[in-house]
Amino acid sequence: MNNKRLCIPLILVTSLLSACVNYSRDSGVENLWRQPQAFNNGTTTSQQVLTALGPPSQVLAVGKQTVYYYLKEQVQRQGLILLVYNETTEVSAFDRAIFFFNEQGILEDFSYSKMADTPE
Amino acid sequence: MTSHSTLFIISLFCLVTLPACSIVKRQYGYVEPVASFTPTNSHDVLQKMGAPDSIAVLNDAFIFAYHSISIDEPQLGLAIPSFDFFKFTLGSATASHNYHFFAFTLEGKVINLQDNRWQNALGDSSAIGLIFVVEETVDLASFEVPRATNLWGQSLLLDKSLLEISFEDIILAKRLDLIGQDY
Repeated sequence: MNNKRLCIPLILVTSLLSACVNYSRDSGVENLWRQPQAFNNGTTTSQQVLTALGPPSQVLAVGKQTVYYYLKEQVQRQGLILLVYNETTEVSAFDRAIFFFNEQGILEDFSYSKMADTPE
Repeated sequence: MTSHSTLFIISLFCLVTLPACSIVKRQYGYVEPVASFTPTNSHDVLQKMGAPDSIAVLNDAFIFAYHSISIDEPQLGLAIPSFDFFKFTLGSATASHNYHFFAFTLEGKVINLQDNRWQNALGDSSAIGLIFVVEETVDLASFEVPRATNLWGQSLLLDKSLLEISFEDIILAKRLDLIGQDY
Protein backbone atom coordinates (compact mmCIF):
# COMPACT_ATOMS: atom_id res chain seq x y z
CA MET A 1 0.00 0.00 0.00
CA ASN A 2 2.88 2.34 0.83
CA ASN A 3 4.33 1.76 -2.62
CA LYS A 4 1.02 2.67 -4.22
CA ARG A 5 0.81 5.88 -2.19
CA LEU A 6 4.22 6.86 -3.49
CA CYS A 7 3.41 5.88 -7.02
CA ILE A 8 0.31 8.06 -7.33
CA PRO A 9 1.99 11.43 -6.68
CA LEU A 10 4.99 10.29 -8.71
CA ILE A 11 2.77 9.53 -11.69
CA LEU A 12 0.88 12.79 -11.32
CA VAL A 13 4.08 14.81 -11.08
CA THR A 14 5.54 13.02 -14.08
CA SER A 15 2.32 13.55 -16.04
CA LEU A 16 2.32 17.24 -15.34
CA LEU A 17 5.98 17.89 -16.08
CA SER A 18 5.67 20.88 -18.30
CA ALA A 19 7.55 23.16 -20.61
CA CYS A 20 6.65 26.26 -22.52
CA VAL A 21 7.84 27.10 -26.00
CA ASN A 22 7.74 30.49 -27.62
CA TYR A 23 9.23 31.87 -30.80
CA SER A 24 8.55 34.68 -33.20
CA ARG A 25 9.85 35.89 -36.52
CA ASP A 26 9.26 38.93 -38.72
CA SER A 27 9.59 39.56 -42.43
CA GLY A 28 8.88 42.50 -44.69
CA VAL A 29 9.36 46.18 -44.01
CA GLU A 30 9.41 47.90 -40.64
CA ASN A 31 5.88 49.01 -39.70
CA LEU A 32 6.74 52.66 -39.11
CA TRP A 33 3.12 53.62 -39.91
CA ARG A 34 2.20 52.48 -36.38
CA GLN A 35 4.24 55.38 -35.03
CA PRO A 36 2.58 58.83 -34.98
CA GLN A 37 2.52 60.13 -38.56
CA ALA A 38 0.96 63.24 -40.07
CA PHE A 39 -0.39 62.06 -43.43
CA ASN A 40 -3.24 64.09 -44.89
CA ASN A 41 -5.26 63.49 -48.02
CA GLY A 42 -4.78 66.29 -50.54
CA THR A 43 -1.53 67.66 -49.12
CA THR A 44 0.94 64.88 -48.30
CA THR A 45 3.23 63.96 -51.19
CA SER A 46 4.60 60.57 -52.16
CA GLN A 47 8.07 61.84 -51.27
CA GLN A 48 6.92 62.59 -47.71
CA VAL A 49 5.51 59.09 -47.38
CA LEU A 50 8.74 57.59 -48.70
CA THR A 51 10.77 59.69 -46.28
CA ALA A 52 8.60 58.64 -43.34
CA LEU A 53 8.17 54.95 -44.11
CA GLY A 54 10.97 54.03 -46.49
CA PRO A 55 10.59 52.11 -49.75
CA PRO A 56 7.25 50.27 -50.08
CA SER A 57 6.98 46.49 -50.31
CA GLN A 58 5.22 46.86 -53.65
CA VAL A 59 4.23 49.60 -56.08
CA LEU A 60 1.15 49.30 -58.24
CA ALA A 61 -0.48 51.34 -60.99
CA VAL A 62 -4.27 51.54 -60.66
CA GLY A 63 -5.56 53.55 -63.59
CA LYS A 64 -3.95 56.97 -63.22
CA GLN A 65 -3.17 56.38 -59.55
CA THR A 66 0.00 55.00 -58.05
CA VAL A 67 -0.34 52.73 -55.04
CA TYR A 68 2.31 52.15 -52.39
CA TYR A 69 1.69 48.92 -50.46
CA TYR A 70 3.61 48.15 -47.26
CA LEU A 71 3.54 44.70 -45.64
CA LYS A 72 5.09 43.30 -42.50
CA GLU A 73 4.49 39.68 -41.54
CA GLN A 74 4.77 38.77 -37.86
CA VAL A 75 4.61 35.12 -36.81
CA GLN A 76 4.37 34.19 -33.15
CA ARG A 77 4.10 30.68 -31.75
CA GLN A 78 3.38 29.74 -28.18
CA GLY A 79 3.09 26.27 -26.77
CA LEU A 80 2.47 24.41 -23.55
CA ILE A 81 4.09 20.97 -23.45
CA LEU A 82 2.88 18.46 -20.88
CA LEU A 83 3.40 14.74 -21.07
CA VAL A 84 -0.29 13.95 -21.38
CA TYR A 85 -1.44 17.09 -23.18
CA ASN A 86 0.15 19.68 -25.47
CA GLU A 87 -1.22 22.84 -26.99
CA THR A 88 0.46 25.12 -29.49
CA THR A 89 -0.90 28.27 -31.11
CA GLU A 90 0.72 30.01 -34.07
CA VAL A 91 -0.54 33.41 -35.15
CA SER A 92 0.57 35.00 -38.42
CA ALA A 93 -0.32 38.68 -38.45
CA PHE A 94 -0.01 40.80 -41.59
CA ASP A 95 0.42 44.44 -40.76
CA ARG A 96 -0.31 46.53 -43.86
CA ALA A 97 -0.49 50.10 -45.05
CA ILE A 98 -1.75 51.31 -48.42
CA PHE A 99 -1.41 54.77 -50.02
CA PHE A 100 -3.08 56.06 -53.21
CA PHE A 101 -1.41 58.97 -55.04
CA ASN A 102 -2.70 60.95 -58.03
CA GLU A 103 -0.65 61.79 -61.12
CA GLN A 104 0.93 64.73 -59.30
CA GLY A 105 2.10 62.50 -56.46
CA ILE A 106 -0.40 63.94 -53.96
CA LEU A 107 -1.97 61.56 -51.44
CA GLU A 108 -5.61 60.81 -52.29
CA ASP A 109 -6.38 58.05 -49.81
CA PHE A 110 -4.62 55.79 -47.34
CA SER A 111 -5.39 53.15 -44.76
CA TYR A 112 -3.76 50.76 -42.29
CA SER A 113 -4.81 47.20 -41.56
CA LYS A 114 -6.96 46.49 -38.54
CA MET A 115 -5.04 44.49 -35.96
CA ALA A 116 -6.50 41.81 -33.69
CA ASP A 117 -6.11 42.12 -29.94
CA THR A 118 -6.55 38.37 -29.65
CA PRO A 119 -6.65 35.60 -32.27
CA GLU A 120 -10.03 34.90 -33.85
CA MET B 1 -11.20 -1.56 -4.73
CA THR B 2 -10.13 1.53 -2.74
CA SER B 3 -10.18 5.06 -4.14
CA HIS B 4 -6.35 5.06 -4.09
CA SER B 5 -6.25 1.99 -6.25
CA THR B 6 -8.74 3.48 -8.68
CA LEU B 7 -6.75 6.70 -8.97
CA PHE B 8 -3.57 4.69 -9.42
CA ILE B 9 -5.04 2.69 -12.28
CA ILE B 10 -6.52 5.74 -14.02
CA SER B 11 -3.26 7.67 -13.71
CA LEU B 12 -1.25 4.75 -14.99
CA PHE B 13 -3.67 4.25 -17.89
CA CYS B 14 -3.44 7.91 -18.90
CA LEU B 15 0.33 7.97 -18.69
CA VAL B 16 0.85 4.72 -20.57
CA THR B 17 -1.81 4.87 -23.28
CA LEU B 18 -2.38 8.55 -23.94
CA PRO B 19 0.92 10.40 -23.99
CA ALA B 20 0.83 13.84 -25.48
CA CYS B 21 -2.61 14.38 -26.93
CA SER B 22 -2.34 17.79 -28.57
CA ILE B 23 -4.27 20.72 -29.95
CA VAL B 24 -2.45 22.64 -32.69
CA LYS B 25 -3.99 25.98 -33.64
CA ARG B 26 -2.96 28.32 -36.42
CA GLN B 27 -4.25 31.71 -37.40
CA TYR B 28 -3.35 33.40 -40.70
CA GLY B 29 -4.36 37.01 -41.07
CA TYR B 30 -7.21 38.80 -39.39
CA VAL B 31 -10.44 40.28 -40.69
CA GLU B 32 -12.14 42.52 -38.19
CA PRO B 33 -15.80 41.60 -37.68
CA VAL B 34 -17.89 44.38 -39.21
CA ALA B 35 -21.59 44.92 -39.45
CA SER B 36 -22.99 44.66 -42.95
CA PHE B 37 -22.45 47.90 -44.84
CA THR B 38 -23.00 49.24 -48.36
CA PRO B 39 -19.93 51.12 -49.57
CA THR B 40 -20.11 53.36 -52.60
CA ASN B 41 -16.40 53.68 -53.25
CA SER B 42 -12.97 52.36 -52.27
CA HIS B 43 -12.58 55.07 -49.62
CA ASP B 44 -15.57 53.67 -47.68
CA VAL B 45 -14.06 50.20 -47.78
CA LEU B 46 -10.63 51.41 -46.65
CA GLN B 47 -12.21 53.31 -43.76
CA LYS B 48 -14.29 50.34 -42.63
CA MET B 49 -12.03 47.37 -43.38
CA GLY B 50 -8.54 48.87 -43.34
CA ALA B 51 -5.80 48.11 -45.86
CA PRO B 52 -6.66 45.01 -47.91
CA ASP B 53 -4.83 41.71 -47.68
CA SER B 54 -4.60 41.47 -51.44
CA ILE B 55 -5.10 43.70 -54.47
CA ALA B 56 -5.55 42.76 -58.10
CA VAL B 57 -5.59 45.23 -60.96
CA LEU B 58 -7.52 44.37 -64.12
CA ASN B 59 -7.88 46.40 -67.33
CA ASP B 60 -10.84 48.43 -66.12
CA ALA B 61 -11.21 47.46 -62.47
CA PHE B 62 -9.35 46.69 -59.30
CA ILE B 63 -10.13 44.31 -56.46
CA PHE B 64 -9.62 44.34 -52.71
CA ALA B 65 -9.66 41.00 -50.89
CA TYR B 66 -9.67 40.43 -47.13
CA HIS B 67 -9.05 36.87 -45.99
CA SER B 68 -8.32 35.17 -42.69
CA ILE B 69 -7.90 31.46 -41.98
CA SER B 70 -8.10 29.61 -38.65
CA ILE B 71 -6.81 26.04 -38.59
CA ASP B 72 -7.56 23.62 -35.75
CA GLU B 73 -5.73 20.32 -35.59
CA PRO B 74 -6.69 18.06 -32.66
CA GLN B 75 -4.38 15.08 -32.20
CA LEU B 76 -4.65 11.82 -30.32
CA GLY B 77 -1.32 10.41 -29.10
CA LEU B 78 -0.96 6.69 -28.41
CA ALA B 79 1.92 4.94 -26.69
CA ILE B 80 4.06 2.58 -28.73
CA PRO B 81 4.82 -0.56 -26.71
CA SER B 82 8.54 -1.04 -26.01
CA PHE B 83 9.39 2.48 -27.21
CA ASP B 84 8.99 4.57 -24.07
CA PHE B 85 9.76 7.99 -25.52
CA PHE B 86 7.86 7.64 -28.77
CA LYS B 87 4.20 8.04 -29.59
CA PHE B 88 1.93 7.35 -32.52
CA THR B 89 -0.17 10.43 -33.30
CA LEU B 90 -3.43 10.59 -35.21
CA GLY B 91 -4.62 14.00 -36.29
CA SER B 92 -7.01 15.86 -38.55
CA ALA B 93 -7.19 19.53 -39.45
CA THR B 94 -10.01 21.85 -40.40
CA ALA B 95 -9.63 25.33 -41.84
CA SER B 96 -12.21 28.07 -41.27
CA HIS B 97 -12.15 30.88 -43.82
CA ASN B 98 -13.48 34.42 -43.61
CA TYR B 99 -13.38 36.19 -46.98
CA HIS B 100 -14.51 39.63 -48.17
CA PHE B 101 -14.31 40.67 -51.81
CA PHE B 102 -14.77 44.16 -53.28
CA ALA B 103 -14.45 45.15 -56.94
CA PHE B 104 -14.12 48.78 -58.07
CA THR B 105 -13.89 50.73 -61.30
CA LEU B 106 -10.53 52.42 -61.88
CA GLU B 107 -12.19 55.59 -60.54
CA GLY B 108 -12.93 53.77 -57.27
CA LYS B 109 -16.71 53.23 -57.58
CA VAL B 110 -17.97 49.92 -56.23
CA ILE B 111 -18.90 47.41 -58.95
CA ASN B 112 -19.76 44.48 -56.71
CA LEU B 113 -18.98 42.98 -53.34
CA GLN B 114 -19.41 39.70 -51.53
CA ASP B 115 -18.37 38.12 -48.27
CA ASN B 116 -18.37 34.49 -47.24
CA ARG B 117 -17.41 32.14 -44.43
CA TRP B 118 -16.75 28.47 -45.01
CA GLN B 119 -14.84 25.48 -43.67
CA ASN B 120 -12.84 22.85 -45.45
CA ALA B 121 -11.13 19.71 -44.19
CA LEU B 122 -7.38 19.67 -44.69
CA GLY B 123 -7.14 15.90 -44.22
CA ASP B 124 -6.46 13.18 -41.67
CA SER B 125 -3.02 11.77 -41.12
CA SER B 126 -0.64 10.22 -38.60
CA ALA B 127 2.93 10.58 -37.41
CA ILE B 128 5.43 8.91 -35.11
CA GLY B 129 7.50 11.16 -32.90
CA LEU B 130 8.88 11.90 -29.47
CA ILE B 131 6.29 12.22 -26.72
CA PHE B 132 7.48 15.70 -25.75
CA VAL B 133 7.42 17.09 -29.29
CA VAL B 134 4.25 18.34 -31.01
CA GLU B 135 4.35 16.74 -34.44
CA GLU B 136 2.17 18.19 -37.17
CA THR B 137 0.24 15.40 -38.82
CA VAL B 138 -1.23 17.47 -41.68
CA ASP B 139 0.95 19.12 -44.32
CA LEU B 140 0.39 22.87 -44.07
CA ALA B 141 3.37 23.86 -46.22
CA SER B 142 1.10 25.66 -48.68
CA PHE B 143 0.30 28.18 -45.94
CA GLU B 144 3.97 28.91 -45.27
CA VAL B 145 5.13 30.23 -48.65
CA PRO B 146 6.81 33.66 -48.66
CA ARG B 147 4.41 36.50 -49.41
CA ALA B 148 4.60 37.58 -53.05
CA THR B 149 4.61 41.22 -51.95
CA ASN B 150 7.82 40.69 -49.99
CA LEU B 151 9.44 39.17 -53.09
CA TRP B 152 8.22 41.89 -55.47
CA GLY B 153 11.33 44.08 -55.31
CA GLN B 154 13.52 41.03 -55.77
CA SER B 155 11.58 40.09 -58.91
CA LEU B 156 12.52 43.43 -60.48
CA LEU B 157 16.18 42.41 -60.32
CA LEU B 158 15.64 39.34 -62.49
CA ASP B 159 17.08 39.26 -65.97
CA LYS B 160 14.38 40.49 -68.38
CA SER B 161 15.18 37.77 -70.87
CA LEU B 162 14.60 35.09 -68.23
CA LEU B 163 11.36 36.49 -66.86
CA GLU B 164 8.18 34.50 -67.30
CA ILE B 165 6.17 37.63 -66.46
CA SER B 166 6.90 40.91 -68.24
CA PHE B 167 7.88 44.00 -66.27
CA GLU B 168 4.65 45.68 -67.34
CA ASP B 169 2.68 42.75 -65.95
CA ILE B 170 4.61 42.91 -62.67
CA ILE B 171 4.09 46.65 -62.25
CA LEU B 172 0.41 46.55 -63.19
CA ALA B 173 -0.15 43.24 -61.39
CA LYS B 174 -1.72 41.85 -64.57
CA ARG B 175 -1.56 38.32 -63.35
CA LEU B 176 -4.18 35.72 -62.63
CA ASP B 177 -3.28 35.50 -58.95
CA LEU B 178 -3.80 38.23 -56.40
CA ILE B 179 -0.81 40.14 -55.15
CA GLY B 180 -0.30 40.70 -51.43
CA GLN B 181 -1.07 37.65 -49.36
CA ASP B 182 -1.25 34.43 -51.31
CA TYR B 183 -4.41 33.04 -49.76
